[in-house]
Amino acid sequence: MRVPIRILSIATSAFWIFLIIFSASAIYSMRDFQVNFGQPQTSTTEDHELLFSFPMSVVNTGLYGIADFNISRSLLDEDGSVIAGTSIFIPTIGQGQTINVTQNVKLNVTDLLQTHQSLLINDTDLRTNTMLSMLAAGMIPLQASSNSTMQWGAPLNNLTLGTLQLAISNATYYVIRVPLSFENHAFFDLSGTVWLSAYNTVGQLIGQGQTSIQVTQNSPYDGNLEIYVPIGAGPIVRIEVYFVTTFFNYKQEIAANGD
Amino acid sequence: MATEENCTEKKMHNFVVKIVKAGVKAAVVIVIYAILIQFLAPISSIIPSLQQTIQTFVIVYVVLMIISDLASGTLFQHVFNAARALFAMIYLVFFLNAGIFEYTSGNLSLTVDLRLFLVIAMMLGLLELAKSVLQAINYVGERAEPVLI
Repeated sequence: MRVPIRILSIATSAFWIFLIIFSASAIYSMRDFQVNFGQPQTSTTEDHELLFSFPMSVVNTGLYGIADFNISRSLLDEDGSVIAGTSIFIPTIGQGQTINVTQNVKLNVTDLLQTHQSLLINDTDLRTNTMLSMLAAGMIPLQASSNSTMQWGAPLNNLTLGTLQLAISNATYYVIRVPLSFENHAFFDLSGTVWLSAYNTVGQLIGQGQTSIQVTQNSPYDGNLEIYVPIGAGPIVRIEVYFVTTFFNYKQEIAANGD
Repeated sequence: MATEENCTEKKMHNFVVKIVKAGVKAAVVIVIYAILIQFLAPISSIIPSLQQTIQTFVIVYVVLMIISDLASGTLFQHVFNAARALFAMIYLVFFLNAGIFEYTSGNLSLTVDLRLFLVIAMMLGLLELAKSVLQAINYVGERAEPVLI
């Protein structure tokens, strides 16, 4: 009985030593594993999508390789719903290896602004969720996640439609001027047309006008929109303002007092 | 009279040997712990409770080991060995939160799945426990007086 017990003793001791050394060295090895995030870049694609580029470098100078490295990033709205996301998978990161990657998150602004119209006129903070998973030392599953915010600049920030101004244009038409001002805080230049439609008491379209706008990033716009309306068309009760741009369409109504 | 003195001297000598042996083993474990804690230093700065938890484990483990060595030559040695193996298993299960280690600091959350490590540690713990039981059985067997027919 003594010999089997002695063998059992030696075997368990050897396994314990191996397990402890492996665990300690694996933890120590993680000290030399780094994920460095660069400065995010923003651009637009030909399909009128916003492209957020997140450059990063993964440095593994530890004692062991890293397997199944996956990093996913998602943009969330104020309700916590995912509005865009992407992930990168690297099968193995060998010992002493440095990998530079750029994670691109595409955001369809047209779809986004149709479902989240408040983003058109209000600057806000979008939440970004970054999740990282890997097999440390090739066999220990590890997951880390972090939340941060990213500033969203509204293309029609502080949109103001001023008081309607009426003036007689000639014997048959009068002109309505609507002061329009906003600031383009978006990541893109704004170009398009603003349409104005005037309706009378029976809901009939009695006048229409349009103005082209070109507003670069972080620039204000201040101008007047004009509609020519026949004098006998009746009182105006409603004016609709349409923004038709390369990135979005947006409609706002102004109630008139029936003058 | 001389036989009685020899017996007491032998007992004293054995006890001193046991103390020295227990001291040397405890010193070896403490040295290993001191080396390992250096490896764990980067993690300890992130998880301050880690060092305290490991320290508590090592203290209890060493105390049980010393008691076991002092009780060598008796059945209690194997009882304390079994207690040590059980303690290691139970402590690991609680410390590792059944294999899923979670840590949150600010907006960063970290989850480490140590279930594979825990399973291996549990199997080794069970082997240690089985070894102690076998040693106890062997001890009782060897001490049993032979029956003359």
